[in-house]
Amino acid sequence: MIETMIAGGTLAQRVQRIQDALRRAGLSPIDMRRAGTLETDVLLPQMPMDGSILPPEIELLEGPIEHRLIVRKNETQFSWFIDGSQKTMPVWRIGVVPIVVSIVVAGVLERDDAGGCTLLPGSLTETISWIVPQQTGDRDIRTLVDVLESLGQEVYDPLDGQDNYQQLAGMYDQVLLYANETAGKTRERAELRAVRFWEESAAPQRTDRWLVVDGQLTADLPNAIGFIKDPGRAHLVGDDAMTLLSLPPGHRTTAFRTTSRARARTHWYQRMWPAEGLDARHALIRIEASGDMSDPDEIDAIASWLMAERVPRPTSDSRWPTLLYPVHILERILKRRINQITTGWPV
Amino acid sequence: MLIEDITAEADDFSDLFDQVPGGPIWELDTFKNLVDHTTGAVGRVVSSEKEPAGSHEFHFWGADDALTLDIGHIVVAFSEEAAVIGVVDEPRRFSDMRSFLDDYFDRRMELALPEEGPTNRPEILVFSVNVLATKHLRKDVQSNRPAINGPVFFATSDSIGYALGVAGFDGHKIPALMHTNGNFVRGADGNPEKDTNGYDKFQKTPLYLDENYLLGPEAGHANWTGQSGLATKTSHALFLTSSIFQTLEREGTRVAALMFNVKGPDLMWLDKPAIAPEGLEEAYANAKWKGLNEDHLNAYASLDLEPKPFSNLRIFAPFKPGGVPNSHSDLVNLSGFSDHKHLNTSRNMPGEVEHVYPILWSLKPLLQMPHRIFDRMDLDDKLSGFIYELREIGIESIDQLTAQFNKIEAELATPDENGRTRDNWRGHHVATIRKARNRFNGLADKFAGLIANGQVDYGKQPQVDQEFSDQELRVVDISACNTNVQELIVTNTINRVWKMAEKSNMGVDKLIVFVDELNKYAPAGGEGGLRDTLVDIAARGRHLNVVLLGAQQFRSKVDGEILGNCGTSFYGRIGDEEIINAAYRSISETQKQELLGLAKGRMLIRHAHYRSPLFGTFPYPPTLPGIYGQRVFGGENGPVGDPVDGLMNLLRQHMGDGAPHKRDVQAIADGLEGEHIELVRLKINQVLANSQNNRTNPWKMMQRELANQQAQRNLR
Repeated sequence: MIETMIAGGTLAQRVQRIQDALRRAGLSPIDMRRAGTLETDVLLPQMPMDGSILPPEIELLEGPIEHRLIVRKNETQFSWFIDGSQKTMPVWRIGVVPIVVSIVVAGVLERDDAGGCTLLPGSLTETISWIVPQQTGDRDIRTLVDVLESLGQEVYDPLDGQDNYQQLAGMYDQVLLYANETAGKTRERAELRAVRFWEESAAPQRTDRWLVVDGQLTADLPNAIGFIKDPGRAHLVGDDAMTLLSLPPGHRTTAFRTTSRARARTHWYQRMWPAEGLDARHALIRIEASGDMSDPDEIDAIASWLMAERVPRPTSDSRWPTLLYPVHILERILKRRINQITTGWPV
Repeated sequence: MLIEDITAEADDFSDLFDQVPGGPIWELDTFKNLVDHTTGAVGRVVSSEKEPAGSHEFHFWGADDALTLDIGHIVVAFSEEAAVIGVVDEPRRFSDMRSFLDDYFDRRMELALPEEGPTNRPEILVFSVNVLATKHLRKDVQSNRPAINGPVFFATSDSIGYALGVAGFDGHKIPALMHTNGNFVRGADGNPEKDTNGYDKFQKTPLYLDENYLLGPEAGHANWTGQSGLATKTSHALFLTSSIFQTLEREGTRVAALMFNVKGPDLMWLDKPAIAPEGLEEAYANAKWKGLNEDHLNAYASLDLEPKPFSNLRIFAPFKPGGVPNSHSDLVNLSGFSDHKHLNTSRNMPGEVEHVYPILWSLKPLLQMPHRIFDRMDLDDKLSGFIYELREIGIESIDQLTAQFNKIEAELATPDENGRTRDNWRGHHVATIRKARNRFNGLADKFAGLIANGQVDYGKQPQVDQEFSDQELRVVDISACNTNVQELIVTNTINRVWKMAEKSNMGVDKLIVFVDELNKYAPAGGEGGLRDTLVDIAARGRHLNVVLLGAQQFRSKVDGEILGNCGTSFYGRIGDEEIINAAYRSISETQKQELLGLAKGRMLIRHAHYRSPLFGTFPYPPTLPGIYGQRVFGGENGPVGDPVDGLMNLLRQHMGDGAPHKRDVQAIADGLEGEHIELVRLKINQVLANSQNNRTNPWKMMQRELANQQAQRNLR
């Protein structure tokens, strides 16, 4: 299932080959390989605010929003975990247009009954794609895109579909911003491919076991949940929000349902660790499940499984209070893979 | 991660080795036989900013299913163009746990975690490896480039041999230990072979020493250190001596060894096989000797050695206190000596004394070394001067000295023409002479059993400080002697042998001198005495074909020059107080920790050709251990030894291959008591010892004497 083989070695080797081809085509873009990653670029502007930060309409499934004690049984039915990792980096610049490369890796971690974790064979998705505004009218950029495509590289336009395309294309930081968003979508696609792979290969093997997707649940799956460890977007407001922020450890909120773009999801929050003296959002997670889920017993069971997933703090991961340990392991595997691909890269 | 995963990953990253034509480097013909491909990769080399790989050390993490991988195993990794072979050292298990306290508190706070969670925390085992050798694609390149990230394999026996430089040995290879690796011996079907217990057999590889670096001339000497009774120093020294004897015998080099038996019957039965000979199986079993098991025999076979005893053993011992023969006319005649009961040795049973010989000194050699026989405080200039006077006038025995003292006293008691008695004799004051007589009178007790009153005539008796014969193992039994006698015999014997070596008349091409308790004879910071001779042997012995095998409990207490000149060192179990000394600084911390609890039969070896010390095992020595020999042959379990063996040894000694078969001797001796057979042996031995010609036929004489004994038996 490896979409784009890293055949020929590392990113540095691949870029060198592209650069040789560009030179033969008479093009010498300005080098930006030491610019760093967009994921850690503090100068990157924020997406403009729009109405999307307003809370969605919710349908209460278990009565008003209130606290429910999670009965802990120290057992879990989760056997698979999906996550993705990305690294997005400017490589060249042609005029004011940055040329960005995005590396995305996603995979499925399988946990056996003895607690051992391994990557589900064949589930790893690795993608190297180029993010270039292609409709600027600039001949050099066209040449670049032609060379990339002739070498079999995937090229995406970050401004595709934007009304003010030319205006944005002339704004260096906006191109970077949209490139970062495009990379995120590439990652979502990679994760979705991992989900589909799991759905076809692993899920039928053990129908009683469940999948955890790190992040939003992007597909309607009966035996899967989305695990949002940084619930930045508020689904509850007013008194409900007050109830949420005072959620005691080991408790969950009652569940509610949202419907957006014909996609129904069942949600609840739960507090994984004590938060006394800490931020009100400390150790707070939101769960997404199929919109078909409404049975309180089932929700209680899943909340209990999640409580059973907690482990003592692993080294150097500040998200530990809301981190599922298998996801942490998977992240390390994926990041290591990205590191292998970027071996020899200047930064 | 499992082995298959690592191998698959290794293939993924084979492009790292793309500059090597023909695919992954470990598949190339040059390196193919170095790694155990059947077992596959057992780990991956890792290097980090904090712990980079170096020319002499690298790190790798072990595969989850490489459960046999452990300290001391030998593995192979690769640099760009070379195989890097090393010995596994410290293992460390890593997890991503931030701190011990995190685990503690998370299990005890509100919402405490259960003891067992659903996910195993990944823990990887990272081993450090000390590099033994590298092998480059090109024979003319010596590579020092560190191993790079890639798979690690178990080393094959070929690989281990290469790493230890066996192909580059100048001399013959002398088997010393057996290395056990973590991979299995596999049959034709690829499955591991089983041992007698049904376990998979591990790969074992002989560890050889270079003859030229053990016995000279390039380097020489060996040293053992370890706790008494636990470190198996003597056992391994005997094993190695047997190995040297067998190796040199094959190459036609004449070799002999001199050993001192300092405790119990340790070295008393080195001519008795560890495997019960025909007819003695029950006796061996009664003595509770378990013998050599299959592992031991396999080890001997792998090392190309035979588990055979020393065929040419000679034992020397002084007399018991009060057992020294009387002198007649200032002479003690030892020719035809047969009164072994009076020797101060545990090997004095009838039938077992044919190679046991006495040590007896007259006063003469003692007068040559007054500093050894008298206390330092006593030996002032005046007494020394008097002793020189005695030497000058030719005093050689205590009888002569007694007569001389009587004469001096008579002279001093005789008044001169003025009626006055003298207060000196030849310038020596009467007080000095009285002091000398007093001190000399004490010698009989101080060196009881060693000093005769008269001069000593050995006749044809072998002597402890005469030439050696090929394959001779000469044991000097001083175990039952007092410290004065022990030190004097050891010091004098080694000094005499060293002088023989300096004159090139040892009788053999190589002589091994084994000295136990080396810290006693060559202490660190000491001087004089045997220390100077031993330092001299250590420094020059390899050129004069004398090899010092030394052993001690405390290496740190031994003279540094001796240790510095040792090309080979063995370490058994060592105590914690001792191992912190600087004498062990060349050993890694992990190896030190291993040494603290090392099992019997296992040793750490350092050799001139080895870049890093290695652990190895050795089989039981090929001879019956002293304590069991004492039970079987020494009479502790009754007379179970066959007295006819004594007759056979005598016949073989004088007739060689022309000696009759044992069954012929048994037929004639059949029905006789052991003591009567022993009488026959003693009588023939005495006759042969005094015989001035070689025409006497021992076998005919024996037939005659045994017939006489049979006749007397019938009369009884």
